[in-house]
Amino acid sequence: MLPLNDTESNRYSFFPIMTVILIVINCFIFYIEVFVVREDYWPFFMKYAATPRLILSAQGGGALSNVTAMFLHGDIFHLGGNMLALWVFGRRVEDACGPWRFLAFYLLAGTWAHVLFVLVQSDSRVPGIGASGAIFGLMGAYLLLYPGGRIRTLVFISFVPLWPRIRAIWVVLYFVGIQIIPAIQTLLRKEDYSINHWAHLGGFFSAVFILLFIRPEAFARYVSDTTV
Amino acid sequence: MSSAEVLQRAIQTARSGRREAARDLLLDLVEVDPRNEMAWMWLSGLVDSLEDKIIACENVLTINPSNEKVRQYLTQLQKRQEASILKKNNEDAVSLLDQAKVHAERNEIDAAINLAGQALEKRENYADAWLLIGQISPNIDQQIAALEKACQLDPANSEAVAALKQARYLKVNPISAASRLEQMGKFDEALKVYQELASKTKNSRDFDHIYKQILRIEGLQDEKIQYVAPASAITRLTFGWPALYLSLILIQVGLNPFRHFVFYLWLGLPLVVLGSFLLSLAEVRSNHMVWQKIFDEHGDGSNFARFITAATGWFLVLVPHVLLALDSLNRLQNFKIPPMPV
Repeated sequence: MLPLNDTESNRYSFFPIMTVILIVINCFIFYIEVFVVREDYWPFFMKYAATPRLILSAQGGGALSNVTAMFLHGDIFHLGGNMLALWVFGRRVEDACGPWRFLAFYLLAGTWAHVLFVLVQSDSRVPGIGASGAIFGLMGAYLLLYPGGRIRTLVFISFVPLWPRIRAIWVVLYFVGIQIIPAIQTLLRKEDYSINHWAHLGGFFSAVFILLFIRPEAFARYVSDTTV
Repeated sequence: MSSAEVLQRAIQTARSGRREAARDLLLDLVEVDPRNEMAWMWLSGLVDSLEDKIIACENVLTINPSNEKVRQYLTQLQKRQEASILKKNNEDAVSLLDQAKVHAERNEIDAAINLAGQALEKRENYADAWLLIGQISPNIDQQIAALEKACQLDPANSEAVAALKQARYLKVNPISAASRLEQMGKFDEALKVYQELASKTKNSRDFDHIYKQILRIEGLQDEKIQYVAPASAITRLTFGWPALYLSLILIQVGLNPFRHFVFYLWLGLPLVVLGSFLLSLAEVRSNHMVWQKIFDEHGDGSNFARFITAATGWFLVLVPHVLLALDSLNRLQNFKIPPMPV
């Protein structure tokens, strides 16, 4: 299942400038990772990724590394998947917030993703990278703000590609659902996964903060039970 | 028994302390002899209520207009009666105004104005009632008239003076007045003001702006959007940036503020709260007291005031974040990179 686009149009703003800026920054930093950092990635990740042990012992970049980690990606598929999801779920969330508060919420969701990651995997020396924690926050926020939203999604049924408009709740539940079992396994068996499931869940639950960031008119619509 | 004997008996009974029996005797007496001056005089001292005393005295004076002692006593009684009525009216007016304020807080403006009007019927020179009407009335002319009365009654009341200045400002700035009505959740009245403005304006740019507002408010009405007070929107938005800053500090101090305490980072939190408040204030249209107290403006904040407020807000929000980033960079400079696990 691959979300492709949110087919609904914006209500408040013409263009999702901050979403696009975030995508450009992520791509630019990935370019630096690939073409500038190259083989020397370990010190780079130690400095600019979120490593639980370093965060808990207040070593390394702390808050700054927590932010820079949100812009680092492991490979082109990691980057591509995250940026696609950022575009799909971020556009209308930004529309409801305005660009600067959207940025604040994005960073907040990414930070809470790392907080849960650090709390659950406090012994881990594996650096956490990627925008996915923040993007799970956007998915949660999207679900809160647009519960009736539909997402154009690419699905394969017996290798046949289809792209129906699926209710956002099913898309989001699918992505959150596939985190839960590996997250529990990480907790119980102390298994390390290359995917940071707890960070995803942390980001998702931070979506409740979105109500502090949406613009007054959008909030009035939210409390009036009409489409934000 | 003759009238004189009944009177004598009543007087003796009164002197012996049996007031009620004496009063009954005198009441019987004045029924058969209504022009008995002495009987009415004694009655005026024996009846309980102020009104009955006054009636008795008036009857004495009707029989004998030259009875100066009773005339003086009647004057005293009438003064006491006026004071008593005034006191009761004052108490009623205060009670009515309290009820009016409760309705005003619930945004039930018509009921509040009605009760404040009733309070004024009880006590015409009640400055607080005039002030309340001046503050809540949706009619700008009624607002100004009420506030002028409030200021006239109590020129030292700075709240009334400021409200009057504001109302006069809104009278000559109808767009702000319409915006104020919208803030109060009175979409119909706001729409009326905009429609009136649209019919009067000759400038096409102004007309476009007003027309956009009309469309927007009509849209809100069609969608049945629930009214959210500007103060609540400002409060809600104020907590957004501090939530981010607080989360970043938590990460910076290793999720343990007691183990890795950095004083100046925590000092930044109130600055971020203040900055975030100013940013919210600059965005949400409201007649916040900041516009009056700091900029001496009586509308919803001019573009200049909003710009200054937003700039100050951004400064206060960003400075603690920059300090946090500098603290992180400082830590990064002294950071020894651990070896890569094999």
